[in-house]
Amino acid sequence: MIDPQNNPEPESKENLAARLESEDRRDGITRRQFLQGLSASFAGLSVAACGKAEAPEKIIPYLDQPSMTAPGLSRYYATTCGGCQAACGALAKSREGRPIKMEGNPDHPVSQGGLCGRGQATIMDLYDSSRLKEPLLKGSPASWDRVDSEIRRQLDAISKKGGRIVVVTRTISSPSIHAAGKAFKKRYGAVRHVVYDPASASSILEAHEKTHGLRALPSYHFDKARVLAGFGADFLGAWLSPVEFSRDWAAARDPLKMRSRMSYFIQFESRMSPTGANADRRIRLKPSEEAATLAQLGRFLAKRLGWPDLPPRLGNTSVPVRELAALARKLAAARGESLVVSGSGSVGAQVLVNWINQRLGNYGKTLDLSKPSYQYAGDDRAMAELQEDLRAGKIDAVIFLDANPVYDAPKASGLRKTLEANRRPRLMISLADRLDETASLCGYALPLSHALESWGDARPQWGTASLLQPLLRPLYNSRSIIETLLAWGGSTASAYDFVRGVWKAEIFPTQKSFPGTNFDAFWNKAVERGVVSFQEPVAAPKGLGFNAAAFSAVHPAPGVTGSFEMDAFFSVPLFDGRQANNPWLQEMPDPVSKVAWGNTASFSPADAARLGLEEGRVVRLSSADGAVAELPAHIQPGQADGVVVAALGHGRKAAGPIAFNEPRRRLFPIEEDPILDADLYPLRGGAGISVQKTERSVVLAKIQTYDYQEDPILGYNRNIVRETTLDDYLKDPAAGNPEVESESGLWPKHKYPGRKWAMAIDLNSCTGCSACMVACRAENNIPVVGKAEVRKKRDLYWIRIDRYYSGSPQKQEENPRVTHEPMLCQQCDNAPCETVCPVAATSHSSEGLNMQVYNRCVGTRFCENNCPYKVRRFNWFNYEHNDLVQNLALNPDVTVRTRGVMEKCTFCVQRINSAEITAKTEGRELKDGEVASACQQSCPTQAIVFGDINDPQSRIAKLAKNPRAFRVLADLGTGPSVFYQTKVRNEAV
Amino acid sequence: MGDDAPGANSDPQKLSDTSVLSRKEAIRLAGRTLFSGIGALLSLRSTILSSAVRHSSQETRASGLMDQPDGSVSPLFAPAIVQSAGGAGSGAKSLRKGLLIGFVGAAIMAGAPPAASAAGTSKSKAGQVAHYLKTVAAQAPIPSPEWPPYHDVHMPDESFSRINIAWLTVFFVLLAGTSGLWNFGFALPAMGTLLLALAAAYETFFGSRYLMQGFSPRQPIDYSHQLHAGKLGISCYYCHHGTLKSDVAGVPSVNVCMNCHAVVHRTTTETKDSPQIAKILAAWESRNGPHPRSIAWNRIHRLPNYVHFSHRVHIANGIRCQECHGAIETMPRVHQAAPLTMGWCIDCHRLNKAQAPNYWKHAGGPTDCNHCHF
Amino acid sequence: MSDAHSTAVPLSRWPLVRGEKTAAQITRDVCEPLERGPGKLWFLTIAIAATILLGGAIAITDEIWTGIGTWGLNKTVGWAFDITNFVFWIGIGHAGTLISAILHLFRQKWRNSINRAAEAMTLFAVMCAGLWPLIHMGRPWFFYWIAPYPNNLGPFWVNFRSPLFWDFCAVNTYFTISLLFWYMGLLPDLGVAAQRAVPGLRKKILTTLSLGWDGAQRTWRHYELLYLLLAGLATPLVFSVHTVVSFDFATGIVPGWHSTVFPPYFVIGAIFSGFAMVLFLMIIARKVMHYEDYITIDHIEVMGKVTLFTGSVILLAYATEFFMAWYGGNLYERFAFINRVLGPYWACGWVMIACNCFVPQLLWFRSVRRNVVASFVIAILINVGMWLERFVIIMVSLHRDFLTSSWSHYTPTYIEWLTLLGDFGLFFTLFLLFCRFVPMIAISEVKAIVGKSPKAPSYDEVSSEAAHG
Repeated sequence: MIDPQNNPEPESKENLAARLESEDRRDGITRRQFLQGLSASFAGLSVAACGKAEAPEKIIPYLDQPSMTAPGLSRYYATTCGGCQAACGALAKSREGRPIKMEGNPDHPVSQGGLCGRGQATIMDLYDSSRLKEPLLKGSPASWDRVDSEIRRQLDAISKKGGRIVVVTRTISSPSIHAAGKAFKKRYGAVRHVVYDPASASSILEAHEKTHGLRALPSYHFDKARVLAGFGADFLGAWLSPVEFSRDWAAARDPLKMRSRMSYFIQFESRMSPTGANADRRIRLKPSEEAATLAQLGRFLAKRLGWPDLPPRLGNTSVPVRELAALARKLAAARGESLVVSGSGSVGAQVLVNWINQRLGNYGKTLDLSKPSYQYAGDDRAMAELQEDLRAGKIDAVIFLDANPVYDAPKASGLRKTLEANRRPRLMISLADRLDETASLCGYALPLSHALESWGDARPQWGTASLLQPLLRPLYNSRSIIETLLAWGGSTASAYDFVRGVWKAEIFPTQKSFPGTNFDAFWNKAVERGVVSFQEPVAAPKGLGFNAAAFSAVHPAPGVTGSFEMDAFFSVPLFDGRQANNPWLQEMPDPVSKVAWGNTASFSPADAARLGLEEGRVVRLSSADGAVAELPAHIQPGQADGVVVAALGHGRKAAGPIAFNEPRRRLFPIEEDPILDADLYPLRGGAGISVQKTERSVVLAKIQTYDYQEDPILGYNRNIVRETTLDDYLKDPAAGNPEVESESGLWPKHKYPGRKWAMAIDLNSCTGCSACMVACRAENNIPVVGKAEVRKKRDLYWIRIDRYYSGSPQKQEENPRVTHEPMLCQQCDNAPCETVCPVAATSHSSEGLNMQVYNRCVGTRFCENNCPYKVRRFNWFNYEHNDLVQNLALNPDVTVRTRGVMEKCTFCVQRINSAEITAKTEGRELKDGEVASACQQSCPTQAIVFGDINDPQSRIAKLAKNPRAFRVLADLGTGPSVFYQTKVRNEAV
Repeated sequence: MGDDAPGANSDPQKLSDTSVLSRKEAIRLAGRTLFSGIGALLSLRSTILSSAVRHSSQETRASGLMDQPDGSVSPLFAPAIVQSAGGAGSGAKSLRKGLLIGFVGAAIMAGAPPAASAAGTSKSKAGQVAHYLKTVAAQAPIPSPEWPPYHDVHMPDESFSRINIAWLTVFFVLLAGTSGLWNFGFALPAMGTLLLALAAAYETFFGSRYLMQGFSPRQPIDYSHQLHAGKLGISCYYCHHGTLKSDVAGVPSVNVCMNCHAVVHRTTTETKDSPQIAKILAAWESRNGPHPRSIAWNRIHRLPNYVHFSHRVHIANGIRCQECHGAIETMPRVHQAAPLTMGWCIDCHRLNKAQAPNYWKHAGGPTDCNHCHF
Repeated sequence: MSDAHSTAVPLSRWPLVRGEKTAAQITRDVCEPLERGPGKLWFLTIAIAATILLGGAIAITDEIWTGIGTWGLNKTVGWAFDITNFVFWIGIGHAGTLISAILHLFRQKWRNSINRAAEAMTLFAVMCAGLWPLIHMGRPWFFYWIAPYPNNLGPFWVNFRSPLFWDFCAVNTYFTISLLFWYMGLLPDLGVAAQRAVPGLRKKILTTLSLGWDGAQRTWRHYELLYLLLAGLATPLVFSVHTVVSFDFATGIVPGWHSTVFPPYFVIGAIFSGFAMVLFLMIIARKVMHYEDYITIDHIEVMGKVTLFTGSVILLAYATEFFMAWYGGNLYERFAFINRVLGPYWACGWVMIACNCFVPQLLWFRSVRRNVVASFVIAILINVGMWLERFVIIMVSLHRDFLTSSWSHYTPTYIEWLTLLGDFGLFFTLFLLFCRFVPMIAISEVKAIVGKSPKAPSYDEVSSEAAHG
């Protein structure tokens, strides 16, 4: 009953119901219902609305909405990328309770705001429906409790009987996991922990053990190196910590800041690596000649600087003597400011490198042993010994924690036979994210939570600790390593509490990031910031000297039996193969060969001519010890002769089906295009490789098929990329950048009253690592079209890296210079595409953007034809989006395009709009740098700058007026808004 | 004309019986034709209306693919696979920030209802509400910022191109049919088609051509805005707090309903518990159970998924909810008041300083495509 | 026609109709095949044409159902077969309009016997052409967005600066006027056919279609005035439509497209390939339908002359293009043209130049012009050359343009080949249906020229006398 004062006429329930019903009937029955009623009576005449009127769409709110979330709001949570051991700090963008984008954490010393392509693609590893979904006990699903109790029982029995338990992992720098490991060891006694890395740095660790008495991986500071000599170290591609090294390397080469002190970088290598492509000078040599070249260089230096000790003679090298003499002179002049690095796996070569760096006084400056890196601590010898013990049957229990040695360990086929033989350990457990090659042999195949689903931490470098926090509840019945070790160790603590406890004990006491806070405040700040610096005991003893006894490890490389030497490398897209099932990475082109989807065997043009190989011809590689691999050939200018180069990480048998957005066909089937993939691990390190040409040939799925700026018939150089040398630049900053602007145009110019968005790309910092391509695909829901479509030149990348070699198809240079140029929509002021679209689906915004309206486009493709930069992409098919788990990665801010629609880069307009709306709701103007496009945000070297060019104070406005600034095809009068900076090479001889 | 050679005069009698109708016959004939004509027309129209709703083909919905602009729908939210629970309700906090709550029925005074979980609510909660009723709610509802003097709320109607092309084509076809039938001697059907053509002409120029205007599906809970927003004067932002900070207004989560309905189980006029409120309690109870089930409201105002509408920028500009959603506080069951077509939005975006209502901070809005289509 | 009754200036040239045909004989010659019903040969050819059309229809259904991905296009080459065929078929139509409209204004009497068939060819060519802009769209079900209709999107109009919108207007105008012009010309003959027809369904249809043609003097006068007016209207279309079609490329920035010589070059190219197709069809029709007396060898010679003229202008146009590319010094343009003859698609380039420039030069010789088989072969080669010209202009300029990184190759898929053949199937099916159901030769116009010309010795007689004399 209702309070009388406020409600004059008391109404019984019946009256209310009747009144509501009548109101509903009086004006409730709208014209619409009347019409429907009337029409129902004329069923004869009406066209029946076939099918039941489907219920309208649902809105399902939370039951109990968490305080910090709201539909439509994106939140960023600091965590650490799980892509590789480098442990870059990352910010994961969470939307409606799920992570949809990974971005670098600016406060993190390793990532410094950038993230590599594999880091961006970890999102796709999370939403992978072929992951292991629940614990398997000999192939049949079981509950975690049953599995844990059985494992504990068996482990207790083995440890009581004094049996040998081995835990095999990749490098783990996480203090929490080590702490959990200690608890595990306390319970089961002598547990042997074998650490191995496919991309191993154990040769560097061993060399330092011999030369400096400390088994540690130094931390490298490329930004301090004025003279840098690389021997096959792909530090801009996939060696150790590429994001950190790229940032430092680019910082040392900014011509404006460094002027004449700009870093000089020379690379000695056999293959054309992403790093070698960016070298000022590049010398080709065979892998076997690396140690001899180092020794030769060392002797030149020793003669010039009078060093006391000399390494033994290692035979001659094909590298011309004057190159080494010149390098010796430059290194001598830059003592304490130079750096020699080598990616070689031989301890002898690394000893020589340490000797040279030590004698040049680089330790403590450009590389630091006292503050080492913990990213790669793998020990190849320990792995070899384990394989011996396993073959001898001495091991009773082996536990693989997130490791897949049956695929990627050295002599993996031997390990597979051992683990299949009857002398194999009684208890074999694998904790991995999928039923991979190792897990399929284990009795217990347990699902591992993804890095974005678990609590944890990492200690990539001395004095740096970064946290992992879960972005969502695990999608499947999986567990992290910490939880598993705790469960087997008998503890019932949750991962969160355990990590908190470890940080309270180990990190908080000596933390330097938030002085004067109690642990709770420190913990909240650490979780929010993601990374903390703390004081560690300095590892290296005082007075670290070089002990000459180490030269005993230096001996000449073994002779080469086969006709070719094998250089199996870790490619930028797939690295060691742990993400081989990731569609974004399978379609990411190799930064140099531009081949996507599958592996290739590269040959130098001379070798290819000798063997009569053309691009795509399938060759069979067979090594001395019988390993065989069939791969399509790829002709790679700049590669050393006598070397065959192929990527590791491919050819996985048990990575699971690669779920990509298949074009939907109805009547005629689409022709299948099998990925000709081969596993190169068995051939790795194989000295002699023989190559047979087979009859088959395939068309490689390449993003770019013509590699030169000069046309093949007339030989005109189109001068698309402008470059100059440091000397010319110092004389005239506008060197190599003639003025060709032309502002002709029939139509009146667009007026930009407010902002005008523009972008600047520094070709000197861009290393061509293609992280921006994966970041763009993640942000803008670009479908993965598959190998067949990429082969037909129908990839959908909105930004691509054009890689040009110097010379032309007729005048092929043996060792061409390489330039990388990111090419995306230039948002032209006088856009050729806007004038020709019949339905005005593309037009110019008042803020300088070339707008592409997907729902208005009818797909005549005239705009694609008329775009001189060819940056518009067309949806040739309806690309399937029916994997609902993968659809969780879709960004709700960007429309998922249907077939028949043109799409292109619009400078991440969804980010621009949300920033403008935020500024408008807060009643303020947009600040410079508040909007960052996905490519700019992810670029490890910050080569891309984006902003409002109408604001004279903005970075972009200054860069546009910089004498190095030029615009591609500006002579066509299209008025592009992307300003490139000329590439400056330091060719000071 | 006719079969035989031109000019020969045929038997006069044969001609007369078809051409001359008695007045009564003519009226009856016209009535029958008109009635059948309008019936056919209306059924055609209802087919379009229901198809607009029905055409949410499974394919675009599940895959979140872009819609076809002929009105098919796909969810704005990601599939509710990840529904995390826990954490204190945010609505309650915004309540205490001084937003006005309307008068809550004296039913609470009659003592806690027997079955509902409210028994579990601590005494202090009931005490708080009771205290509230006596002090704040007793006054007349204070006009809150969202409570406009209704007469000056700016509810535009699309000014231009009222012509509906679909009906225009139907009109021309019928017209051609009429002339064709007429000159081939079928007088009766020609007249019928002419009437149909007239009906189509009406529909072209005056019919309500917006497919979704007036769309009002039945909701799982018969929630009445008229009662909550109108009579009780609860602020729009209390439930739809998404509008302040997010592009998505959002429908209140169950914990926001529970802020009041943990105590309030009946409307002012009911003697025993309302079955509608019981549904809220059932949903709320299920949150810690094996199958947490929230309330699946039926979406009414739906834009295709290639349009990105931001609530917060419109609210920040001072635009009132009623301008796009109509007199929502007078609706027992919400229906879509405005056509929400592109032209309808553009009409407001094109208003200059003089035309725009005074309570708007900025007159008009951007008309660049990429502010809504990206 | 109107001057037929005034003092006719005797034509000194060759007799337009041979065999001293009387008016009744003409009517019989034209109408009897329709009444008699088709022979076995007709059924055979239409069966072949219909199956090819069916193949094309299936290919088009798959393409529309699945997406443009079934074609061989890619991110660099956005157009190839689709717009090539569109321009090729539109081009073929223009000769028909030229023959029926322009030659009518020029009082060229030899056109009377072939103008209906030529105009029909125009109609069918435009239908075949109009198919391509629809199916080349990514979302063909929104084709009506190209029309500026009032809508409730603001209203949101089309982009009036786009050549594709101009195409939409030009091609629709062209089709409606050609249809109107052809149907008007058909009325008297339908009237005659209607009167000759045996009472029944065919008679009922013919009378309806002939709109009650009574052959009265007043009707004739209105008819001739209207025919003259429509001829006047259709004449500018011959030039404007293909100019607009050439703007699709001339307004583009692609090297090889972007030149001001395109409008005249395309119009002459259209007439050139149009006359080749008319020659091709007339030679077949005159043999199959036994109309050698009406479509005499002299007609073929005259058409040969026009083809020769237009072929020579094409030769000039190619030379201009290559010269301008060299003279202009623009490196993109220079490469675009060298790439046509020395690039990966050199075969298309050389065949195009051979067929379009050198084959028509054979028509200088009177013996070749008067030789039916030679004209037939030349006509086919010319059309092959003109199809390749459009293909080379569109695809070969696109696949290698400004940035060398985006260069790529294009290979047509079987769906594209099926659709191309299907289009030819459509054209010939329509033409065969036209020959079967509609009087192929304009009876009234042929009667006009027969009655008037005195009996003049034909060339054969003259030449035989000269030989023996």
